[in-house]
Amino acid sequence: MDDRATSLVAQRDALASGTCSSTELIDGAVDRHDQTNASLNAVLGLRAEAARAEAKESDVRRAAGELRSPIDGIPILLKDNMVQRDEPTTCSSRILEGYVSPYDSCVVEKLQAAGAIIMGRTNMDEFAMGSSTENSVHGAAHNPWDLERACGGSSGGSAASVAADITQAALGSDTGGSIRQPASFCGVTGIKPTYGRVSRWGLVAYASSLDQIGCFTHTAQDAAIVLQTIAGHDERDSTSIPDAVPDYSAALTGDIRGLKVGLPKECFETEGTDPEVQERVRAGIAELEAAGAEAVEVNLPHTKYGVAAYYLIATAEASSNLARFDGARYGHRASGVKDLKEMYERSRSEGFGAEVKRRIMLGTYVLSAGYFDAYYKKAQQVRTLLRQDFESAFAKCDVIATPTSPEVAFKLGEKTEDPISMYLSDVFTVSANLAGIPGVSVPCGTSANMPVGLQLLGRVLDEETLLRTADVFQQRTDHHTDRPGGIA
Amino acid sequence: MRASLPAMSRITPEQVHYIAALARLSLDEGDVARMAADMDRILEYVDSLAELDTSGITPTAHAIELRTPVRDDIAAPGMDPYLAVSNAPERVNSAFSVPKVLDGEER
Amino acid sequence: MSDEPKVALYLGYESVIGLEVHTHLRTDSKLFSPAPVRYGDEPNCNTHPIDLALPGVLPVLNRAVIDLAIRVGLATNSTINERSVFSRKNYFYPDLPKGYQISQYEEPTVSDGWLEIEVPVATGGKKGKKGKQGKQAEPTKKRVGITRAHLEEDAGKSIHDSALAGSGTLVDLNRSGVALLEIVSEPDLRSAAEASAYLRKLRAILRYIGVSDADMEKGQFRCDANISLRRPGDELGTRTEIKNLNSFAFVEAAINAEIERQAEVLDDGGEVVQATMAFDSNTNRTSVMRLKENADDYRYFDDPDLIPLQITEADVEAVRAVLPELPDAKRDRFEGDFGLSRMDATTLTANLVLAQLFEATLEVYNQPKSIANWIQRDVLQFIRDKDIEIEATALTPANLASLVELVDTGRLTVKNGREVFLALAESGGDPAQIMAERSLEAVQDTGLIEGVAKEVLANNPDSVTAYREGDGKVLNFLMGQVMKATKGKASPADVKRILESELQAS
Repeated sequence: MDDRATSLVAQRDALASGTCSSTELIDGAVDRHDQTNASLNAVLGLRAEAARAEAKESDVRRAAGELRSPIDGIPILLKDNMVQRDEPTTCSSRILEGYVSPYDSCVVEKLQAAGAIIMGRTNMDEFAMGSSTENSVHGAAHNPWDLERACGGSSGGSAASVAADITQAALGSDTGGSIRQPASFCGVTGIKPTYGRVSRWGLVAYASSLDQIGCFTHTAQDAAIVLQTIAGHDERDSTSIPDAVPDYSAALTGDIRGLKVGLPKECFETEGTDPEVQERVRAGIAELEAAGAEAVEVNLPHTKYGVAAYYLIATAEASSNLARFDGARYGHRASGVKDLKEMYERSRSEGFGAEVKRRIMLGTYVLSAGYFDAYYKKAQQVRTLLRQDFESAFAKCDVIATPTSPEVAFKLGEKTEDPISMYLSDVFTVSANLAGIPGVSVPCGTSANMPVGLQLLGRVLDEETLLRTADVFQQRTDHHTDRPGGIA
Repeated sequence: MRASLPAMSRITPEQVHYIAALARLSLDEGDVARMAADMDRILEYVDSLAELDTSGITPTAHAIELRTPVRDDIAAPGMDPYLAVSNAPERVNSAFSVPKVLDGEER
Repeated sequence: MSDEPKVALYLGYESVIGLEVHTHLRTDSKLFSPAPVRYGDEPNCNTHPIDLALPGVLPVLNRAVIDLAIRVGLATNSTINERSVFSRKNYFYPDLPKGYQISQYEEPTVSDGWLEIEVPVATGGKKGKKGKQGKQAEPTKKRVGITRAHLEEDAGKSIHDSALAGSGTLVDLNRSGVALLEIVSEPDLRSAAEASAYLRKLRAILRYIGVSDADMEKGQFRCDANISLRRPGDELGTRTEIKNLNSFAFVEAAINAEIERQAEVLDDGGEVVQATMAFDSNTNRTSVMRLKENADDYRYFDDPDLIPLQITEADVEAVRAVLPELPDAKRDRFEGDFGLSRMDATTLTANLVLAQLFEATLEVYNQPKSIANWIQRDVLQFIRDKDIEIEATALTPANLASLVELVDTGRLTVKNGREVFLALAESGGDPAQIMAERSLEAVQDTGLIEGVAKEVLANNPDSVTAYREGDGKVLNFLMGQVMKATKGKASPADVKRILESELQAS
């Protein structure tokens, strides 16, 4: 594999030195896609022609010395839930068949303003509901490390695309772990910023108070660059944080001496976690200690309630957010409907997959009269307890380290019959969404030849410490340079 | 610590029908049974929250505290009405067209 | 509480009425989207992706509504809540694109206020009358509680008309997202007349404080009535709801129709069933539109896309400082400070612009009764005849004051003054100049008038003879002659006095 393909920084430098052009990068991405996607089903569609035209313009800008940003001319993929003007968005759902957005999401605007080239859209669990990218109307995505295994979800397509080097960067969204968990399953770096750090304008909503856009890259260094581009206040998003965006790349000082790494015993004593996974993660933490960090024990006593609280809140919000998909103004409408009620019921029943329907039903129930206090309100109170857990923990440490997932990528079809077992793979990731704090997953080894992820969680708006820590880890290890074998 | 969730009750087919109607989903009989079973499983799992004493705890609606964001009252031009209906399954000129509302459902 | 006015019972039942008013707030853009607020345009041309509920859109609050909500709170003696929360009210309907309406549920912006209304006293009907035949009974005052006023977005329009929509329904989302304030009264009203008085008062206040134009024909002031009956002293009865009453006449007729209907049901030994009613203005009857077996399950929850609204005391004081004086207070002040009659004060303060014209004119020329007279007589007549608003006339406080002063000092007769007024209202200008241009200046020189009088008498000996023989009416004729000769520029009072004196002298 060329050096050009190994990182975003390498691509940027190659463009800068004239070793290659943006057009060549785009061609490379298309070639790599053509080689691998039939097996992976990670990418739903490339806008190759448009990308080539944009690449040409980038090359012209470069020749004229008028670059828009350091990532001008670099190819990137979007998860299929971020709208782009005149492009289809399906959220991997039949109910959005044929939908073409008349407006751009904020992240698309920012990427285009930076000159990045959006190659197309990636496969996902329908409406971001899932942990395997098997709930997709376009078919499951396959893990590049083992085609019979799942990529994780819901941003599985984006994780796999970067793992397979179709592009060096891809955007995802994370509501309960949907960036971090697929990152760990696919052996790449995935970051979920602080809630409100990246605008949700144009992100098709799943659970409004939990959703956040982030990215997949091979390295923390690359993640810093992408995050720099997409983060920032947006007045169109009322939950957007007004604080200025720091220089994330400048935060990669390479020095974590004195950093306190919190180890919550609740995340290391759990019987559901694969022992080899635990071992890889502990080895990763040992690397951090060797670099000068200090491990301290912390408590996150309410960890085990996170999944339940998450499923109550997320499904409740989703049941309301998905009410707009009704066959009236866009998307799928059932044919031959005689009246309004039939239009709603048949369009929605035909348009939504089983998992989405299950979550809508649950969410509707949770909000319904008589159950609100017991379920929804209770879950919001548990959320407060989780926030308090983190506040106490961060009084004693600067980052918290856990396994990203209790296990490595499971086989396709293994968990689709039992929703609960699927939900439990989010046990280490959901708390961050409930508390709004940032988190990153970095590859830290393999188990049974499948990647293992080390998760780092940080204080609100402290992406800098997370990235710095991840970067130091990646300077001392080479797990992030591992690539899956031939994908045929 | 008294449990604050209702005693574990099986989700009945009637409840499934009621919820499905609220959510405008139509389920055939097989679906109803499966859905009831799935919901039961999930609710049994989330019942674990009943163990927690949350009396006096303020619910968190927003993870990050923010001041009320507002927008100045300046009207932007409306979008092209034909663009507004460009994704419509059915339309009449620039209006969306949907099947008739049954008697008794008018608002 | 103030004395409850005695209200007639219908078939022995007391009517308990509560009103919910939805009023469009006067903003340029919508509540949560920047789309324009306009009426009567082509479907869906005043929309934004937010109003269409496209995937990925988010709401942002329009700053202007905060000020308007505070004004309403102050004008209705309410509590303006420091913290209020936007909630989602979830239901499916074609004119509700998101499948939920953003409203306020448990924590509204305004709560616990009241309005004072004046209720015509019932004369007792069949039981006999109070007061003499034809004498107006003094209206009694009544306080009507306002439970809350909250912000919410309006829905779009569903058009069921088969000529346009065929067998289906057309949906226009131009109105979707327009800012509404829903104002809910306590069930303190006891008759259709009280309900109407409350609505009129509320509407006048909203217009006065610039919160809403409240044009009922444009659907900017819509009323739903909740009605139940009970025997006095009993618990509240089951109530029904009549929706979307958009004229005062309809409100009264519909409420009375429903009271009759419920009373008949109860009298027949039946039970009132909870329902949404429709009112047919042709038959003057209400009928069931939709039964409400259970309360609709709207699954309210706090909208996670929006941050709770925080209003500080400073915010409230800032609005209080510039809030227009309310109609009642203004009327009382006009009575007290300017010595105007209650009726005059009421007329002048019914319209804010009229009241402002009055006061501004007073500042130039301090004669309240005079100015009040001109405004009530000539200004109101003018705008009625032309069917325009006061702002559309060319009157200014300066030119009006000037005119009134010219007439008061006798430099213009009243009649000529009214002619000058018309010119002023039409095209503005300086009354003195108009007076000169048209040679309308009054003749005040008594010597001149005497001369003319003498001449008229000389030319009309028969009339003089008639006057001496006791014919008083002939004086009018002689006055007319003098007025003609002076081109109407002498004041009738002067002319009469001088003629009489001349007649007596000769």
